[in-house]
Amino acid sequence: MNSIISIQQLSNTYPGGQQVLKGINLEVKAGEIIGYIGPNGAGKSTTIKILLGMISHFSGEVQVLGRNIRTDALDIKRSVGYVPENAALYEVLTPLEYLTFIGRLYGMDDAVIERKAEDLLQLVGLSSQMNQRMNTFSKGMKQKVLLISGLIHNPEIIFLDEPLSGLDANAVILVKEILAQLRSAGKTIFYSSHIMDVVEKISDRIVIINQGQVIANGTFEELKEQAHSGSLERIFQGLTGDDTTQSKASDFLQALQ
Amino acid sequence: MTGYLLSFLDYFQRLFRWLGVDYFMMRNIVEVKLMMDNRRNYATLGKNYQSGDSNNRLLMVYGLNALLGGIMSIFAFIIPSVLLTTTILLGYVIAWVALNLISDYSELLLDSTDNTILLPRPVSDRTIWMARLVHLLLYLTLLALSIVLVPTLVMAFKLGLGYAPVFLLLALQATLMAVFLTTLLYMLVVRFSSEERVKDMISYVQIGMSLLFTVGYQILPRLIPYQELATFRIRFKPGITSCQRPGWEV
Repeated sequence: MNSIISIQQLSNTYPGGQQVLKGINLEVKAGEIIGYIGPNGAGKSTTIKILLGMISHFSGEVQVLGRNIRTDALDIKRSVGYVPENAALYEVLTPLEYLTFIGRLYGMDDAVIERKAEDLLQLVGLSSQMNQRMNTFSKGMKQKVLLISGLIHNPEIIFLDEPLSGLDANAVILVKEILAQLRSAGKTIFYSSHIMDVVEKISDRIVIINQGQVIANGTFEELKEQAHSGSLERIFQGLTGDDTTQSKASDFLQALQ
Repeated sequence: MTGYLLSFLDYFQRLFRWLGVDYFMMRNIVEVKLMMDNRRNYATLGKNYQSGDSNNRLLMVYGLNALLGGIMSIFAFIIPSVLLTTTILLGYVIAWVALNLISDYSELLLDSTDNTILLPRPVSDRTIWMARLVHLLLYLTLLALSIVLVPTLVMAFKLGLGYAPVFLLLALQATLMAVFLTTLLYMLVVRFSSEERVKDMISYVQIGMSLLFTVGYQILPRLIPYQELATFRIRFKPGITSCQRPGWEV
C-alpha cells in the first residue's frame, strides 16, 4: 500500500477514435526513479498528462499520493512538478517574471519566489540573463528555466519529459546530479526519455511501453537477464520488435544513391 | 496601463469570488497575459517596430487606431447627412475591428502552449477559463474603444453631447457584430483546414489588400471622368442598404 503512484487498467481513446493506451498497470513506490521509455507514439506523454490531471477522459483507476486523480486533481497538482517536453513557456517574459508567475500559481510568497528563482538561475548559469526576454534564448537555456519552473514549489513527485534536450554536456551532468540528490531527499521521479544510456544509469526501475501496453517492467539487471543482451538500447530494440534497423540503414543509403 | 486595468478588476473581486473563481490566481494570469500583449508583435505596426524590446506595443496600436479614427471622422464635416456619416463610421469600426482581430486571433485564441503551462498547475478550470474570458474582454474593449473614441468625440462635437451615448451604443453593437463574424469565419476555416493554413490565408489577404490599394490608387481616378466625379452622390436605396450591418439604423 505504499505506492505513491498507482495505475490500474488505464485506457484512453483520442476523440478521433484512436486508442492510445490499452490497459496500463503500474505501481511506483515513494523515492524511486522510474525510467519510462517507449517508441514515438507509444503513449508516454499521454500517460504523464493523465497522471498530471491534464487529460480527464480515460478509463481505469489512477491514484497519485494516495488520492484519486479524478476527484482530488487540485490537491495532487500542488505536490507534483512537471517539466514538459517541448519548451512550452511564455517567451516574451524574462526568466524572473516567468518563475514569479509560476510560483504565484502555486500560492508561494513573492519574496520566497524571488529568492529561490535568483538562487536557482544563478546555479544553472543564467544569472546574467535573468532579466532578458526568453525569445532570444537557445533551446538549452529555455530548458533550464523550464526545469526550475517545474521544481520551484519543491514537489514530492517530479515528472520529466525529455528533460535533457538541448542541454550542453556540463548541464547534463548537473541535471543528472540534481536528480540523484532529489532522490536521496526522498522525491519520486518519473523520467521519460529517448536517451537510453542516461535512463540506464539513473533509473531504479525501467518501464518500457509499446503501442499502449507495458511490455517490460523491472530493474536494469532484471531486464538484462530477460532479454539476454547487454545494453538498454539492445533490450529496447528487441522488445519493441524492430530488428530490421540494419537492413533499413543500408536501404536508406541505397535510396540516397 | 496593466496596473490600472488590474486595479479596475479589483473592484469586481467579490463578484469573481461569488462565481467560484480564485481571484488572486485569476489576477495573476490576467496580469501576465496583458503583459505579453504589450510585448507581442503586431501586424498593424509593420516591420519597423518589430525589433527591440518595447513594453508598449499595444499602446502604439491603440494610438494608430485613434489616428485612423480621426481621419475617418473628417467625413463628419464633409457629408451633411447624419445618417450617412454614422453609417460610414460604423462601417469603418466593423472593418477595422475585424481586421485587427483576424491578424491577432491565432495568437489570442489558438495559443496551445497555454494549456501545457496552465493545466498542470493547481488552478481550477473555472479560474483558468474566467481568466481567459476576462483577458479577452479587456483586450476587445480596449481595442474597440481606441477605434471608436475619436469618432464619438467628433460626432458629439458636431451634433451635441446627447449623440455620444447613442453612437457608443451603436459602435458596441457593431463591434460585437465584427467579433461574431470573425469568430464564425475562423471556426469555419479551422473546421475545414488547419491552423497553419489560417496563417497562410491571412498573409494572402494582406498581400491582396496592399496590391488592391497601390494599384487601385493609380487606376481608379483615371477610370472615372472628372465631370461625373463632381456630380457624384452617394444615395441610400433602403432595400439593399438596410440589409448590410452599417446601415441597419436607416
